[in-house]
Amino acid sequence: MPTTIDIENAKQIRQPMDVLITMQVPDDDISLTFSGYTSTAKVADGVLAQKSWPMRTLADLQGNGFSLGGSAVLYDPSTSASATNGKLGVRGNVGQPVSLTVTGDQTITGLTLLVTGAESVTYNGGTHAVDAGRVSFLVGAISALLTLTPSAADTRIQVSYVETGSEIRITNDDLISCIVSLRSDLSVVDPTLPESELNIEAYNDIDISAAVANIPEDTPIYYRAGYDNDMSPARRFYVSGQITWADNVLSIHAVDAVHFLDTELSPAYLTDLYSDTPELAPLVVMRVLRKMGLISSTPYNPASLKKGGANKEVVFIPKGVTLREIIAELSNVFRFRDIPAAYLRSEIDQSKRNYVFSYVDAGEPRVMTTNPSGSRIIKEEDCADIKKQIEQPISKITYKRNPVTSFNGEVGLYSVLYDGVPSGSAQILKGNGVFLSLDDYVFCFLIGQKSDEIDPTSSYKYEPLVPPYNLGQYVTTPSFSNATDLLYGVSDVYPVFTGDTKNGELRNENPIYSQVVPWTVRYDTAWFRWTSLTALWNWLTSRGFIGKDDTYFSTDIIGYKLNIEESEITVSNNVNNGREVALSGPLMGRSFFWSSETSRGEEAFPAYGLAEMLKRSNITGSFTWKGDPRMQPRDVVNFHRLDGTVEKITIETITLKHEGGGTTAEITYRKGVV
Amino acid sequence: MAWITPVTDRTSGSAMMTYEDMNRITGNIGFLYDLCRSDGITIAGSRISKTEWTQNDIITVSDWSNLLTCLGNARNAVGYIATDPTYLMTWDNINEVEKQTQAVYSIINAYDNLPRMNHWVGDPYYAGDPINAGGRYE
Repeated sequence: MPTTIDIENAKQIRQPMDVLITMQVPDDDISLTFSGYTSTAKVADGVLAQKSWPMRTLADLQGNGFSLGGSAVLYDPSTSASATNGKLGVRGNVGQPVSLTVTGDQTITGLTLLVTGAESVTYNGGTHAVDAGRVSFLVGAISALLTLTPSAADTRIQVSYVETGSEIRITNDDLISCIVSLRSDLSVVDPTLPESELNIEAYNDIDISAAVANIPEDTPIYYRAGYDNDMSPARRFYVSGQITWADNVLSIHAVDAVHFLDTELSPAYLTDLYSDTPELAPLVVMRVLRKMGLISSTPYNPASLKKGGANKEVVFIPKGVTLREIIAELSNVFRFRDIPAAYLRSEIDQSKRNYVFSYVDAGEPRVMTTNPSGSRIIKEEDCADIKKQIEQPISKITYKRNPVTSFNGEVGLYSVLYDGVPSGSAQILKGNGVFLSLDDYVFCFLIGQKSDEIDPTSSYKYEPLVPPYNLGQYVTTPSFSNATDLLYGVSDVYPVFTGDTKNGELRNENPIYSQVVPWTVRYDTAWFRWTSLTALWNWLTSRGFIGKDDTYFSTDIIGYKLNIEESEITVSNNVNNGREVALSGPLMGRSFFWSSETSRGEEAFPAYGLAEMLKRSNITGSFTWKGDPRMQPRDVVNFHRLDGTVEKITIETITLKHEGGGTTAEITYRKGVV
Repeated sequence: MAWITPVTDRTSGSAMMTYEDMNRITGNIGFLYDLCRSDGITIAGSRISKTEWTQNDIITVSDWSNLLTCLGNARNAVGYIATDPTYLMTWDNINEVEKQTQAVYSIINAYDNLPRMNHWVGDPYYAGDPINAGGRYE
């Protein structure tokens, strides 16, 4: 059934949309005192800070009197306020204003009052309407003299609660412009997780410069638009930079939650991984997804893999990578099926587990799939500034490789996955895949085998490779005790070992993150495989990673930063200048993360996701449309062309502009379903 | 102030108590005081203190206490025996207040309408006793 927005959108000229922007301004640490109400109050105890204490129902004859149901009590001045007795608050004379002075122990940014019988509150020359028993306004001073105006001649103003903090509320009445820039990145190469923005300018004829100066960054602000009975879902942004007020104009800049992800994954951040211990999927990924709220927060802790149990894990933790980068990666290569079903939130359709998932914040975080329904229709005849662009055919992708140049002419990195059997030998498969911009964000995880991996008597040991590095030699068939283990990766990694020089052992302890020695190319590069612990030990010692004393200590191992450069790969016929082309090619082995569950030869993850990326169209475009506040980047739209054809497009960015009483949207897109 | 017929037919808690109700109740109690005094009936205490109510008023414990005292004095003056109403602001309690004012008023009125009775003012009437004009107490 079409909603009001749908009906209005279908019109040639629709009714102007309502815009509602609200922001809660917190002031949690301020203590308030109340005074100056006695002369204007009929009865009062001045108890206004105890929100949970009920207002005592008095035998009050205001208006139509009081109900004889027994709840009203006779006023007894000797009854003190309490949670049991209730409180009086401040109650004025019928039809008369009430004065109240609120004083803080520090500057009050804003106040919120719960009040009945009042139409408005006046402070410092500004009048603020009471709405549904609540009024909120900015103060920006230590003390505020408030005057409450009654709503009717026969009713009594009753102030029940005053708290610090306020709400900034901007509607069409105040709005000069509201520009909502919602972004995704549908690039073929190196897509990012872009930030969305909200920019507001609004009239405000009260000088609130002092108050807004106290509003901290990251204060949530909400945007909605639509019509009276059909407003879009609220998008939540966070104040970025200083809110300003000048020349009666309030200016606010806010961004979505993506910027919170701009933190490098730290050991501290990851310490709780071991309390969760996911079984198959990479732990960091799970952690990130959980943080994003995409998977269940219920810990999954199978006894066979629990911390401290016999089946320890080896986890290699990425270094120098932010959550945002990880999620950007995940948004393009990660399949739902790489998450164990037990983790998926119930609302994620299990039947779509083979889809690549995409994450868009845009103030209203959503997980999208590769096959979203394209139910929304946009007609070209309703659009302006229509542009269509064809990216230069991506005839080649250049990879940087440095300093590892001894790959014997092979392009890219060999990554290895093994497709094993429950026990016995397992074959390591060689991939001939490629990496995209490895130098910025490559990392990997090694999910340890289920046996105690650094047992000197075990065959699962590392051995450093000796230059010249020739990855071909590592296509081998080591013996593993459990074929569900995944053992190989390349990255900058953190240690999980403790060395004991006394007896020459490396012991697997719980991860020690405190002594991280960044590994860079100036040291060396090395590959390891599970052969000889002694060799590893020697290698570490020779490089100075393990000292000569007899104390326990931690160290980095397998520090590796892979840079591949000046090598080219042709990924498709590249002469289709001006035509839509789909890129394709083997994309095995991007050492991002692996799940042993899904590591199956050349179809192994993440090749699937990367291959999907290269299928993206090279045709992009843009147009201006009337706009719909419910739209989200990555929405798929049926674009009805003037020639009668219908083109499926995926929206990359939307810039909604509410200004001058109207709404428009500048939209960019990539052809097809991304 | 004239006598106003009391309202005694409230049937539920949805009934409202307004300033007009309070004006009627307290006015009637004051009226009973004045009537006793004018009829030479001895009535204890003072006249009810507050008989003019507005929407700005909130009934206090003190107000209600005075109301009940004056009502009791009026009952005693005519020998009408009944239980004191309570301090609860419930429909049945307010009905009882107004019923008692009506009862006292009826007794005085009945007495006034008799040419002569052997009943001495001050002899007890009990709640529920019929107030029969022409009745005779020996």
